[in-house]
Amino acid sequence: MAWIQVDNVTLDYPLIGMGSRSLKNRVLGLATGGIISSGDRIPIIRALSDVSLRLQEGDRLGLIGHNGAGKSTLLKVLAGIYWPTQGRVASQGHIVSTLNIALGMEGEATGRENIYIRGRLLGLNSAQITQKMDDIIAFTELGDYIDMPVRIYSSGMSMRLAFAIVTAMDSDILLMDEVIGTGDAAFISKAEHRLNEFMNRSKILVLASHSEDVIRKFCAICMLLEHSRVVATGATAEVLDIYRERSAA
Amino acid sequence: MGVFILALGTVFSQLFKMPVDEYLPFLATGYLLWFFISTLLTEAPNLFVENAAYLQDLKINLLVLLMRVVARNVIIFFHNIVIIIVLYFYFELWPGWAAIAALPGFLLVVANLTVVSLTLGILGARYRDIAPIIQNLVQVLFFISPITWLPKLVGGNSPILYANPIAHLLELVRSPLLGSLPPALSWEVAGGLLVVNLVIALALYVSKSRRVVFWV
Repeated sequence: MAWIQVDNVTLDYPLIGMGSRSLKNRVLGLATGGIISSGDRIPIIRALSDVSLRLQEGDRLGLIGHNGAGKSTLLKVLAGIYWPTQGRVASQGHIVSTLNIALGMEGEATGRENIYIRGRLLGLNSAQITQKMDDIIAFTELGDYIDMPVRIYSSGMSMRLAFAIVTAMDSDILLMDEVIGTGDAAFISKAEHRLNEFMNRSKILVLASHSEDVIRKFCAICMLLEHSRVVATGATAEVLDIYRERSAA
Repeated sequence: MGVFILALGTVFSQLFKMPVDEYLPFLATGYLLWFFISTLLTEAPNLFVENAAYLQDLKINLLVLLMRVVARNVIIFFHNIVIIIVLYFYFELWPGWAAIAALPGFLLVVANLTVVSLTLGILGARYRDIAPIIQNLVQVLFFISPITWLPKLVGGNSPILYANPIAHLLELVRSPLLGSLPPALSWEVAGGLLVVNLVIALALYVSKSRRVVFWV
């Protein structure tokens, strides 16, 4: 059973500027009673306020909203990267997030070694990676390049490798920030097919996107965020209507 | 590193008017361990800052990143140990069974450095001037610690030696490799340091580890 439960989550994000970055200033500030202090208090941004959400197996949730509305922040809270300031997040199931699919690529290591590194970072053990290895290598179409250092790859080749690794994962809960895609024209349809399979395999999907088409295609339910608050939750068509109305206004 | 030890060893052995076969092994063993200590101390404040990408995109424990940097430096240390083995053969030295005591000594050094690195890593993420402060401090420590100069030159009971934790850490690994057991005081100091450092690191880790991602 996979599920996610988010209760009244609020997340405050401290913005630490240059003045508050210095231990020396801090100590001087104490010693002089604050005369030479950098003065400014650390500004705090409320990135999410009072967000609640409950997802069960089979749910496909789309997150929509303008830049800075809190979509990515909510994904990061769900992934366990950010701990909420208030409220509670609980989930069950293996979480895979595709926030940055090229994370942890080592230029000096070969493609094959990078599959291990990425696989381990995504939470697989060596046996599981070995088992997926052939499938990943076959998909990348890298041929003999797979045993060469990644630093000599073209950007398209390394993107393909990163894409192949992440889409080989089996997730209970899949968190995506925009749909990942890759490649030249011939590769695109193949990649799309693999991506669809990858997304359908997951028991729960949370997808943040600006594209209404993408949301409509993948998500049955939808959540509209605006200025860190949830404005509407419900069936995708209805929420998208509200989104369009509010954008026009 | 080999070149550094060789060059410094030949010149300083004449400065101190000591036979090369006594001074060079002393310098090599001490400097090797110092290299390990100083590299970790210098890298620690930037540990989480440099790995910001991991912290911001992956649910990853701070300790995983910490262990990565510690493991890397331990591996480098064991690579460099070749220099000492070459010196053993060249000067036909044999430290005897005492050398085995270097292993628990080294473990104690590693444990100490690991917890200190965690503390520095968390503080360094919050206060960015910790890294240059530590860099300067490390340089000072190099000169005030008995690495290039012999402890007997200041006399055994000098506070320069017993009040300097680095001197005790050096003693734990260097003495066994040169054939004698380290003094009990060094064990006690290193053990005590570990407890204190562990308490500080744990307190910081428990209270601040969830904030680090916002700082880097």
